[in-house]
Amino acid sequence: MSDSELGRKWDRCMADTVVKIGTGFGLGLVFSLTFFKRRMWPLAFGSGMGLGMAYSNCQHDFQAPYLLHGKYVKEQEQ
Amino acid sequence: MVPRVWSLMRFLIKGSVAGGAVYLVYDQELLGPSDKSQAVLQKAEEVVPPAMYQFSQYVCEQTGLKMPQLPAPPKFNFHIRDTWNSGIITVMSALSVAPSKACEYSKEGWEYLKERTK
Repeated sequence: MSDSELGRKWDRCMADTVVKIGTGFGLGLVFSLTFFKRRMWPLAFGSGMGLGMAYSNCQHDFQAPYLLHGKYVKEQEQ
Repeated sequence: MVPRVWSLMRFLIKGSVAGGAVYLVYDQELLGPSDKSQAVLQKAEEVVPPAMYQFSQYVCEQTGLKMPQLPAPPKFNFHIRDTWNSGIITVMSALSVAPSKACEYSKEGWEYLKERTK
């Protein structure tokens, strides 16, 4: 992986993290205000979900060039 | 009868707000792949400042208040990545030549002292 590609991946990762944490926080805020009587746990839950999803995306993005994809081939009977 | 209808209305309003938020997230693919999130962030960076400015102008027109003009924020032409990389390269190259340089300087110092004590 070249430096520029690595830099682009990091940029994408950071932007994704910001958007997902913000989205999770926003959804948690909406649900906290509407259904859960202004408790704090929906905000924490939503932010945590967003962070976890962003981490998973970043991990997949960085590991993708090095993952080997194989398939099973049946042995042909002689 | 009326309190029941009112509580049902409240539930429907809350449900529609929450459902609208979930649909917005789904429609804009905010919790989707990372390239879509990056595109949404870039779009938000382009759209939000002019929208905020227009909203503030509208509020000023409606209320008659005059918002003070804030000075433009200073623009920093400081590239963290480039300076960090060049800093690391400088430090590592200095460390790699440090033994030979130390040897050279100590030889020069020794020669200087020898000349001075002659």
